[in-house]
Amino acid sequence: MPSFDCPPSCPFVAAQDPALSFPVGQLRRVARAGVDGEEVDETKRNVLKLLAVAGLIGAAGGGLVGGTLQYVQPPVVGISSYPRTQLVDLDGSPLTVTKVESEYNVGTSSDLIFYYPLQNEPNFLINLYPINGQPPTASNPGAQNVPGGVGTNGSIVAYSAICQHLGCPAPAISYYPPGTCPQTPGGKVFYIHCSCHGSTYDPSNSASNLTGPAVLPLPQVVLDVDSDGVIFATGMNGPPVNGHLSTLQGDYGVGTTSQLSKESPVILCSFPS
Amino acid sequence: MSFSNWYNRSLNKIWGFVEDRTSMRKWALRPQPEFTFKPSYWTGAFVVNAFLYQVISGALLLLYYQPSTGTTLTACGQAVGTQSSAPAAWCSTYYIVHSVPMGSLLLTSHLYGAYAMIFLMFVHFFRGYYMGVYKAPREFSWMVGTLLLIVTLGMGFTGYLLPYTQISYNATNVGLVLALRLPTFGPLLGPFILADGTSQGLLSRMFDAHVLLLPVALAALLYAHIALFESHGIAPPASSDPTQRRRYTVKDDERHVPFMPHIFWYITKWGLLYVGLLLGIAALWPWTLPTYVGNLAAAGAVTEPDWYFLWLFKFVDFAGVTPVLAVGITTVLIVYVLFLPFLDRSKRTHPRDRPLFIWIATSLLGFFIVMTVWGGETPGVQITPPVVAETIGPIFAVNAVVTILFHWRYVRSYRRRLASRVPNFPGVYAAPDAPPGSGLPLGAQEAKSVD
Repeated sequence: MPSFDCPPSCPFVAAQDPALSFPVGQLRRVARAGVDGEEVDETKRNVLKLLAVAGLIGAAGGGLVGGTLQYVQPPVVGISSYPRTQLVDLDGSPLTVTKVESEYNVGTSSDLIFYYPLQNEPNFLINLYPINGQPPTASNPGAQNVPGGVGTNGSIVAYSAICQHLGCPAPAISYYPPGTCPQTPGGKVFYIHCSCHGSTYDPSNSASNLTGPAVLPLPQVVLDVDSDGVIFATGMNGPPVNGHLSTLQGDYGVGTTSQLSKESPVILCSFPS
Repeated sequence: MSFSNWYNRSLNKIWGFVEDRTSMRKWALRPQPEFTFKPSYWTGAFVVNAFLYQVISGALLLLYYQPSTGTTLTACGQAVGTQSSAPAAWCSTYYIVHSVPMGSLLLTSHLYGAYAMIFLMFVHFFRGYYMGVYKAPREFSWMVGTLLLIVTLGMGFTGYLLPYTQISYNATNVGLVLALRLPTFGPLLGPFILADGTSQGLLSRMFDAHVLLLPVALAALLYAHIALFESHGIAPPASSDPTQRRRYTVKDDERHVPFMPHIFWYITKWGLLYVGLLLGIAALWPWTLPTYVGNLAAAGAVTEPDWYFLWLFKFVDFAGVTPVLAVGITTVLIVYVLFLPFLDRSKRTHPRDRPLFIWIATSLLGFFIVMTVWGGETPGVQITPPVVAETIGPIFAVNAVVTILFHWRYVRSYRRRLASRVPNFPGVYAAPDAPPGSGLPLGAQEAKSVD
């Protein structure tokens, strides 16, 4: 019989007397005569009882925990494919290329936001063509024929308005027209800037990352113009929208139309250029 | 019969009646030594006071709050009897602030009470750290306290979303994306945090955590924390003597005062002062509710968390700090604090005998203060590595120099006193040229813990 180094405060009282102790604590080894005169090993019997009870408790507990884990993960809300969504102007009329090109330009300061493909995924709609309607030059800021751009000059683009760094949505992330701030990140005078942690994106180049902690570009909305000049959103390119398990999961779809809204941007010029 | 006689006899009679039937003095409400009746020994009681106020004010706020992102008929500025354009969560908060009598005061004091609780908790934490109260036999007490700290900060995080303002929604998103961007853990945790992915799913989870899960966890941990305190007795003053007893029980020190009425009135006094100050400040500077989530037309505000998370918010502004790094460093900090009793193994509790750990504590304190102020001044402004080094480096460097100088001065004076005066002085450092047997440190004796 092994002896145990047990202090006077040892919780297993039986362990203090080696004659009565067994490694599993208080299961006493008592041999006694069975019905047919054979010795019955009580320790063996107690260990088996212990295992049976532990197994039952484990099975019941495992079932409860497993069930709870399932319960707290409801079916994810989402859509299975990108809808073809018609954009609707602020006044409720269909948004056309003509209207965008006449009313909005590179200098439009209040952001135009529409939700696509889900109801909690805001996107910027930006026309990068210069204010004066002349082709862009170094002294006439603006851009044309940009990647994914639609319209007469290929200057109408749309990007996710949720920052790819830590998920700040519009208006914390905003479009900065030329002259908004003295900084020119990456030599750009107009850009998308997030006030949360200072990430800056280039709207004339697929919203690639210019400065700041974010490393990924903003997801770009695929725009399509029909024969009447009406603008549709038909899909998204780039990384998944931030804060979502995937771009198509995490809320209900917007359906066949999505109306623009104006927002007041948060302008914060205190970032290093 | 004089008044004081009558008063004492009545009190003894009532208390004796309760005591006879509960034996409360044996398991709670224990007598404490006289010398502890100064605020620095009761920092934990102040946190409990603050927590009780949060429970009561929170239960009252719950009468009107609606944890929903849908619209509601509750009045928040729209025409009477029409659906609000704001989400119900914001709308009901607006209703509490603008329509319910005393609502503004109650909500403001709940917010400021949270600030006060977190501030007092940090005071309690650093006081314990500097005084070395985490040493044997109070290791478990310290670890439970660390868990309480995490749960309390969790209460702050989950409560921030509930008014459903644009700022709080953005700040909550920042915290969630920090978690979701983690490799392996992020995708694993995602479904549990995001539920079905909708804003309603998230709000329901935050609401459940803030009003039920975390408070229950906090209360359970608090019970363990106080039970351990009762079992160990109050921590004696910090000492350089490794044989100093680490428990003060009635047996060790007869000069104890009973819970009733001394300790009761002592805590009540501080509790009333706390509530008075809190309500006064809340009445003078009521909180204004920022605009709601989805209100794109209103002027937006810069996203920032409450002050106790500003340091982390600023930390991710640093160039090169990825979410993984930010969460990793926070985890290292938590593990360090949790296992501090097993890292700082010396038996001396006085700060002057623990230069390394005091250097870490003071550097951390300086780091938190500088980062919080910095985050408040320039939230969301990216900081380049040279500026980070210029600002954060000196905190650690100056601290190291100051700590080393103080320690050196202490060691020198101690050696001088040891060598000149007292043989067998229960000291810390042996004089290098002392004759054998005089003024030596405790050596073998020291290895034996008293408790």
